[in-house]
Parts: sequence; C-alpha cells; structure tokens
Amino acid sequence: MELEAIDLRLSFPQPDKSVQTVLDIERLSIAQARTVGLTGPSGAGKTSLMYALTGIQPLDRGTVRWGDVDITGLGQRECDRWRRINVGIVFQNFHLFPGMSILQNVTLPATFGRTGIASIRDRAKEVLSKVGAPDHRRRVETLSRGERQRVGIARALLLKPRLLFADEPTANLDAENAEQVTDLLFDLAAEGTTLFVISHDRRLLDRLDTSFRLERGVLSDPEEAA
Amino acid sequence: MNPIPVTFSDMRTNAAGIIAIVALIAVAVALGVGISAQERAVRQGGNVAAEPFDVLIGAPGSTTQLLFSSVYLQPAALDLVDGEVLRELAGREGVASFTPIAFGDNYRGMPIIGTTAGFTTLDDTAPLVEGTTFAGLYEAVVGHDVELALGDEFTPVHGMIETGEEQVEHEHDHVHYHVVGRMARRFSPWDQAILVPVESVWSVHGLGTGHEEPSSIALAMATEEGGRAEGDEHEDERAAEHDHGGPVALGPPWSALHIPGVPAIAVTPASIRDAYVLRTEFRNDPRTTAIFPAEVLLELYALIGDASTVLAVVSVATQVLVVGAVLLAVFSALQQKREALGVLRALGAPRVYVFLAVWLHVVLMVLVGSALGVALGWGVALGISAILAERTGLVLPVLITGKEIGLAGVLVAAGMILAAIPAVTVYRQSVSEVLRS
Repeated sequence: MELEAIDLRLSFPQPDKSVQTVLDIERLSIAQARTVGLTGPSGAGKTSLMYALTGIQPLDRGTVRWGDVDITGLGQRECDRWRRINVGIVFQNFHLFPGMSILQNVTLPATFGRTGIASIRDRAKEVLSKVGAPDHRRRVETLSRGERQRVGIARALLLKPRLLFADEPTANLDAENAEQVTDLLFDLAAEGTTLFVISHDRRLLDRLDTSFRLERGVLSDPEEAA
Repeated sequence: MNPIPVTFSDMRTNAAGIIAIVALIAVAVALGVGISAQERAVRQGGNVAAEPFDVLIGAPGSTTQLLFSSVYLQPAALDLVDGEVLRELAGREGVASFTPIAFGDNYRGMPIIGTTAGFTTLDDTAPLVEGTTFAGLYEAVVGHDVELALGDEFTPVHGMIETGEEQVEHEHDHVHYHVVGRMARRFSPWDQAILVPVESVWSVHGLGTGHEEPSSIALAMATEEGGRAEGDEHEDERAAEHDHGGPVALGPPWSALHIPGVPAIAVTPASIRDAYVLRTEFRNDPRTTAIFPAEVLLELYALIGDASTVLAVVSVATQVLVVGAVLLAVFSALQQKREALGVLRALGAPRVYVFLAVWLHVVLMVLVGSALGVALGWGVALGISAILAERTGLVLPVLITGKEIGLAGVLVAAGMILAAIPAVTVYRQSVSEVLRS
C-alpha cells in the first residue's frame, strides 16, 4: 500500500494580513515498508507535512491517499479512526501522560475505540519488552528521557500501525540513547512498517531508504540511500 | 471508548487542587443539606413532643412560654392557673380528660412534675414499660431515660432545675418519693422527667391535696392557715408525717374548698369542635389563656422557616459561586492541558473522547463533592441534634430524604450541564493549531 500526496497546498494568514505558504508540494509517494526521512530548516513546514499526511492538518487543497483511501476526503470521525488503526506517531517531546504508569500510557490508544485495555494488555507488554522499557508499573514521570522515548515508541506501536511517523525522535536524547532509539525504529521498519522520520540527525538520516529536504514548503528531489 | 484513565491521571497530577475544589463543593452542599435536615428534625422533634398536648390552659401571659414550659419543660416562672379551673373542667362537657402540670421541684436536675396517673400512660395509649403508675401520694413514675430503678427512693429539691445555689434551692428533706414505674419513651424532655401525683406537689409545698377528705395534711394546714409565710421546712415535716400514711384520693375531681393553682393544664377535648370551643372560652376567660401547642409551634416554625429560607438562599448562592469557581479553575487548567488533549487527538482519539475526558473531570468533582456534602451535612445535623438533645431533652431525628438528595442532585445536574462548556471548547479546538502552538 502506498502513501501518496498530490498537489498539497497549505498557507497560513500572517498578522500583517499577508499569507505565508507553508506547503506547496506537487507529488510525494512513499511505498509500503520504505523508510523515508524529511529534513529542512526550522519553519520549513516539516511538521505541517507530517500532520497533513496523517489527516490532522486540514489543507487548502490537495489529496492524501493511503492505498485506495482518500484521507483528505474522510470525515472527522472516519479520519480519527483511520489514524487510530493505521498510524503511529512518535513525538520529539514524548508527550506521555503523567499520573499514569508506563503500561497505562502504552495502552491508552486502546481506550479510544472498542478495543479495550484488557484485550491489549499482553500486546502492550510485548512491545514494551521489544523497546526495552523498564518495569511497566512505574509512573512515567520517574523515567529518564531515553526511557520516555522508548515508551513513546511502544505506544505508537501498540495497534500495529502500518505507518509510523516520528518527529525528531532523537533530538532530545543523548548519543547513546539516540542510537538505541534509531536501532529500534529500523527494527520495526524491517517488519514491514512504513517509516517517515523528521530529523536532523545525520546518523539516522543516513540509514533511511530515501530522504527529502523541505524548504519553504517545497520538497527537493529525493536522495536515495547509497 | 473509555476516557476515564485520562481523567483519573489528570486528577492524580492535580490532587491538591482537586481535593480543595471537592472540599469547597462538599461544604457548600453540606450547608444546604444540613439546614434542610436540621429544620425538618426540629419540626418533627417538636411535633412529637407536643403530641400529648391538645389544648394547654395557663394563666394569662406568654403563650410561647406556656408551650415551652409545659411541653418542653423549660424552666420558667409561670403564673398559676386558679385551682377553680380544675374544678370546672371536671364536670365540663367536651372535655375527655385533663391533667394539671405542676412543676417546681427537681431531683438531680430532672424536673419533678405533678400530674395525674392517667398522664403517665397518656390515658392508656402509651403503657408503662415497667412497673405500675402511682397510686400513693409519694409514688413516682419516671421518664424513660431517668436513671432511677423501680424501688429507688429520692428526695426532691425545690426549684425546677439544679442550680447548686443554696439560697435558691433546698431539699424537701422529709419527703421521699418511691419509684414504682417507668414511662414509655416520648422522644421529648419528658423522658428525663419524674412524674408524681399533683397532690404530692401541692402537699410538699403546704397547699393541701386538693381533696376534701380530712387527711392529716389538710387538717394540719387548716389549723395553721394564715399563720406562716414561706415555711417550706415545716410543710415538709407535715408532708412527711403524712408520707405513706393513710390513703389519699388522687386525681380529679378535686373537691377541696380551696384547690391549689397549677402552672398549666393539659386538656384532651372530646372532639375537634370541642377543642376550638375550649380554646376560645378559656382565652376569653380573664383568669386564663389557652393554646393549641401545634398552632403555636406552626408560628415558631414559620419563624424558623424564614430563617432557614435565608440560609438556604445563602447556601444556593454559595453553591453557584463554588460551581463558578470550579469552572474557572477548569478553564485555567485547560490552558495547560490543551497540548495533552491535542496529543490524544493526534493519537486517534475521537473528539467525543476528549469531550468526555474533560466533562467527566468536572462531573466527578461535583459528584464526589456533592456526595461528601450530603454526608457532611447529615453528620453536622446529627451533631447539632445531639447537642440540642443533650441540652433540651428533645429528640430531633435527622433524616436525609429525597429533598436533601434533590438539593445535591440539582447541583450535580447543574455541574453536568455546565461541565459541557469547557468540554465543548476542547471538542471544537483544532488539533493542528493546538499541537503547533
């Protein structure tokens, strides 16, 4: 299944009443199980593109397709459901929920629909084990940054997404943790998940199948891995 | 869909604030519930205590004081009703029964009430729980909670309450009452009272027995009449001489030339019509006044009701303020939670999920606060009732009824509706804008 974006345009009005073009992308295709990187200067529209591809960001125009599904044509509820089932997102700042244990954080997506926590608990423990997270009973506010990112990745993987988006997954980690998280992401990609990574981490970008550079909303030609 | 984990985690991370808000809600609800429950308790307790008294006749004066002294046995110096009234009542049409209520002595702070044997069982409608009613001049029937056993003897002390001041009170040293029975519970100050024949109270105070037969006391009195002023000690001696002596007639009709006065007379009319006739006639009689205790109570309740209405308004205003404060607190907290709620949406949570997470947060606080408030209000009302019972002997049954639950329910309902305001705000916010900000 392919993720395809065609003729994307997104702009935001500015305080001086001018309009800033954030995305102006003619075409972007990502085949299943590919690992794709996106880099570019701050404010280039990288996060906006990620949100557009996941149906979070409404567009001025354009189409995003996942196989036969027109993401941009889905209603709010259907889009939420599609994202819940098909997409995993790893955030730069982890965005875990304090007051919950590791296991509760990881199983959180199961509470959005009809899946239920009980039926997914074993799966949660499995992914936690895979990412090397500490004791699942620990509260997330007691974890180190590296441990938090592992929990964030485990949460993204819970419902076996076919698309995994990671926004600067190693930016807040030291070198050792960054390397471990990178290894983890590529292990997952090897299992058939399409990986879309926004990063400035050269060591991470060098291991991806393809990398794009985004500047002022416009994508450069892809750089294929050697 | 189950947003409870998110709601709970949010509550856990803001536990101190949540506890403060819940406590505020609880206090506001407790105020309303406590006032409502306490007012009802006072009404019910007051009514139960007044039940045995259909019509009360007293000397002209304060009807409220007559009520409080006779029904609730509150110490007060009442003018006496002319004893002739007792004679008149004995043969009067429309009077099913009547009993004098003569107080003035106590034993260890428990009032000793001179009355008739029929009043100890409320004319057989409330049989004694043990023993028999008094048949002798110095026999006593104790109230349900009086700590005297059958067969005990005691000596009365002059004065309606125990003051400890020697100038005010003294023992009627030579008089010894003998406990022969215990009344059924009346849920009123009468449970702490000691009932004795009114003849003995008159006799102890040197007033004869109200009966014409030539008893030793009556004779003694007749010979010394006019020759003394406040010679209670001597009267006690004469009473003691009579103590357990020859038989003395007890109860109406009293036929002595001069029947002593009493502070109050409780009358049971033969019919409702008779009750109104009696009240009117004895109100118009310059020697007396007459009241329906229930009617006087209604007037008092109206005053209590006015006060409790003011308090209820204050309570509602407090609840409105508290709910407003809760909403402000929630809106303030939402600014910090916007990002987290946006992340939930990004992870695939539907909009209704975040709506419910926020809505439940407010509703749970209001629900728990209201439930605690009902319990707190009940507890406070119970405490106040216990203190009042200790001080007055009135049993004030505190019950939480549909009215109190309804009061709390209104707040919960208001909370459920108002909680939708912040929840809708979250529901409508743009995920991409929130995440980008």
